[in-house]
Amino acid sequence: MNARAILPALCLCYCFTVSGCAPYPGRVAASLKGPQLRNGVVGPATETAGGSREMIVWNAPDLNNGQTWAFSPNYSQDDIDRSLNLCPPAGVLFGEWKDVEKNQSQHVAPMRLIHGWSAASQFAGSDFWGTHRYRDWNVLLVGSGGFEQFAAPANDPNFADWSEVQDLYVQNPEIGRIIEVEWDSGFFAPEMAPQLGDETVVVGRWDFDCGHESATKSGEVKTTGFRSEMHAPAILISAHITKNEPSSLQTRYKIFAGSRSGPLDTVPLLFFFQRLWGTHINQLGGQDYSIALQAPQDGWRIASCTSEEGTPPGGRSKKIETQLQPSDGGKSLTLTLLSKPFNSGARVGRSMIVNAVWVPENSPGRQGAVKCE
Amino acid sequence: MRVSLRIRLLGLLAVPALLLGADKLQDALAGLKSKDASTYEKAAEFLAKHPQQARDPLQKLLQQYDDKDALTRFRAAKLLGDLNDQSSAEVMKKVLFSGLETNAAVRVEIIRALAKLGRKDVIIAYSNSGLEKSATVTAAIALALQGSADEDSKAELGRLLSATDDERVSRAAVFAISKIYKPVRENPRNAMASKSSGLSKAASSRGKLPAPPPPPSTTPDDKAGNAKAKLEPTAADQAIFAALKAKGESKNPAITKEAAALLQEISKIYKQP
Repeated sequence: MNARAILPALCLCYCFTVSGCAPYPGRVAASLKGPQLRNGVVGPATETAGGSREMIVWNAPDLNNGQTWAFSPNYSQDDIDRSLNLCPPAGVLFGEWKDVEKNQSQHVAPMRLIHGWSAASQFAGSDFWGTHRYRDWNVLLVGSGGFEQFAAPANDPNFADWSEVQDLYVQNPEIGRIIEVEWDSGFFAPEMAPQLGDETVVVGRWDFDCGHESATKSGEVKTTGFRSEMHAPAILISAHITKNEPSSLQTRYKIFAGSRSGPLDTVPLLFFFQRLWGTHINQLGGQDYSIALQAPQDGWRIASCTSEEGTPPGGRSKKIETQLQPSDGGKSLTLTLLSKPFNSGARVGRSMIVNAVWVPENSPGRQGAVKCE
Repeated sequence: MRVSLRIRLLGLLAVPALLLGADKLQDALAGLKSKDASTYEKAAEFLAKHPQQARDPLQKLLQQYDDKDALTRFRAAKLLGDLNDQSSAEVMKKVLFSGLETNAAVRVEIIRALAKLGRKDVIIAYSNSGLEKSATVTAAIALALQGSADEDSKAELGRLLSATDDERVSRAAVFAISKIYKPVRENPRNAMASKSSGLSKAASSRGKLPAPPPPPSTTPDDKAGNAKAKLEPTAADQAIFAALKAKGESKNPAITKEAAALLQEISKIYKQP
């Protein structure tokens, strides 16, 4: 073998083994590049106590209609086998992410919606640059109720080894299953990510991460299969309480939509070629999306609201127009993402922030006549 | 003379090398506190490669009951399980029975580590002691006994299932029981994993527990279609059947369904009261 053959082979091996080389986008603030705050004690148990309610309510369309797979809240061998059957051996080499709802008749699996609370929100520790333009922004969500049907057994830190969430688990051993949301930061603005503890709604591709098989060496079952996650999302909405006083509540809602999510469909063996043009497109166009933004407690009505442009995503995309208006007698704001005019596979996106001030329902003033600036 | 001089020179070189090694060990132990997963993983990799040096400091870390260091103790427990050193099982037993470990996640990891070390006897003794009040840890105890067909493990699983109303414990116990009675599915990955696992080696080499009988892996009918005689359940089997029957009337539909399905499957193989 001469040097001309050995050198490229060594380079190829090096590129495969050095997985932590997906870069940060240059536009991102330095403060976002380091570790962010993490906390296990979040979720509906704390957020909805004492007459509290969810701040983000998905109106339409019903994205979880016709779901063909739901994970059992029990520890189920069928659930473990689901990921083992879908993820090929050495899955990381032949496509790392596989749709949980594999449907031969459809080219693209339907987008699904999950609702949870952010327990962590920060850049990934490392990502393979062959399947990423830039490093992923990761959000760890905890939830309850319908949340569990989207979380595989391997998403349970009480059942599987998951080093990235050990600190959350130690802080809160009752945390339950956790779902990771990952978005290539070349197509997502980290400034628009939820903060720690924020209520969060995610719409997007529901899949298995076939690159990280979870294991438990504590019993007969040596593998707990692969974790399910939302990778990549198409819509990410979060709600944050900015001021909480007896006479008024101020809330901020971050809305980020984008159909593009980077070269995650790239076959790593061919990444030198595919990653140059490959990008996963979520079918965001072709329908409108309606979301109710509410106060965090019952008995409040909207007093004023403003909306502003959020940090734009990277890359080129057509802007989705929006409508924002009070509804339900001022008890909520209805936000509509008007993406029906676009083709389902169009490159579309929108980034916006809505700030709302809420007052007790019996406060003096005109009710239901608020216009968002 | 020359040879002894060389040996002395080598000795002089060995001192800094040992010091360097000690530094790396200290760095790795410090890395267990890191919230950055990649830093921790590098530290864990180093410690796993140096089990002789890592064992004692990890055992010490496990016994430093300070709330701020719960993450370190959690990771120390995990690594001690991976190092496959039986002396660690005694330390873990001491920690559990002392009642000084207040973090439930750390106790869960100790239970899992004990299972890796093949010390189900300690797990069962701890479970029977009544010291454990956390549902998460009790669920971990049930999961650690999954697939264990010996009488002690079965009796403990039956007791856990019948004594609890907690969903997590019920789910874990039903899953663990299902691994005893359901035929093992032929999954190439499971087969490969079990071949390469150190658990069976650890368990058999200690000889503390008798090797469990294999779960019934055939249907009760043979190829000719003749019904085989059903197996006679032991006392522990009967305790499990009774607990499953009780769960069949549970308020949680998912657990009810799972318990009923499991009981039906068992009834094909065992005589039931």
